[in-house]
Amino acid sequence: MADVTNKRKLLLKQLAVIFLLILFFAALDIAIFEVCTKRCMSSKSAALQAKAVDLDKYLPFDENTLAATVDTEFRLDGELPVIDGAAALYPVFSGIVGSVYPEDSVEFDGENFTSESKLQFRNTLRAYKAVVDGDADIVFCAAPSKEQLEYAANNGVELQLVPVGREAFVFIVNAENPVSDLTVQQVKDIFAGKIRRWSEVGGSGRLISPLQRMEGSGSQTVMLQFMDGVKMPRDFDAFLGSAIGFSFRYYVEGIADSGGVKMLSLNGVYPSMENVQDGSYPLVYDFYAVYDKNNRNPNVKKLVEWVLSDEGQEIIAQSGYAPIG
Amino acid sequence: MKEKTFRIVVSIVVALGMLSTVILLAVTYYLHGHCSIISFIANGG
Repeated sequence: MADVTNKRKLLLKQLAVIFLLILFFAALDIAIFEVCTKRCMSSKSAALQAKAVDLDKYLPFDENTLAATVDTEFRLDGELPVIDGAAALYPVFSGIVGSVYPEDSVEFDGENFTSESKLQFRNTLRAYKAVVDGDADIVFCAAPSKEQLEYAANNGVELQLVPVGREAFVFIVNAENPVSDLTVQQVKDIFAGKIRRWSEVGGSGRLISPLQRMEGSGSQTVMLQFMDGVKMPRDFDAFLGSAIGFSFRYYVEGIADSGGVKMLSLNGVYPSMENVQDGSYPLVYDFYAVYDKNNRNPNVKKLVEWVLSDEGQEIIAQSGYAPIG
Repeated sequence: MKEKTFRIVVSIVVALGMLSTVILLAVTYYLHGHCSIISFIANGG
């Protein structure tokens, strides 16, 4: 009898151990999912996120396109320059092509532009490489990174940067973050790792997770320029706190489906279109039409000059950016 | 349950548990590499 009772007790202990092990791994997986996995999930497909912009929405010559166009007499004869650029500026260069180029110059296969198309979309990193390698004639991007300038120099290419518009560089947090305003110095201190908790800038006691982008992306290059040589530690603890990131105003507001985030005011000024245009928002940067100075296609300079004309600048403004000058 | 059987069951539970965690971490790593800063912040709190 005692033997049977002991056996039952042993069995119960064994089952309890197995149950606790299952519970432990289930709790671990749920915790990882809630804290980490869920934050990386998006309603957009991986392919769409990799492209960073839904090309279909701003397709030139499409009757439902969101890209702005102007009626113009300006036309190019001969070889048409291949246009490329950053995700944040895709509506601009798509609008330029839609206004000036013939319809059959753009070939879209449903996912991306074909190699024959005069409109391409490679995003900043690959666009700079394309203009150096001769795969694109004009790219619309933020200023190049040190590495991109070095790549051009190493390949014997001198890049011509022509400012064609202006855009606000913005900092974004989750829409539920109670902080809505930071000073420029506070932002610098956050990304330098000097300010570690939101409570130090009027928020909750959570850790601040400053996020960065990959080297060579347009916004990362502008961020390095903004930090002016101050080193930024990488976000290895990104999952532990409440994040702050950076981007360009229209990309956040107009291109990305960004319902869950909000843009922060800087020094008390919100990055609205009006505040960008009147210069009151403190971080406004030029973006450029970039081409190889030795590009022999005469249409390259002609097109850039047209972008700087009233008609070209109308596209910049209608696309949601601030015209130059 | 015999001691040997118990050990086998525990080993299987631990192995499956570790495997599920490793798969979840791999999926998270993949998603982290593909998600934008904006998505990450929007989902992040």
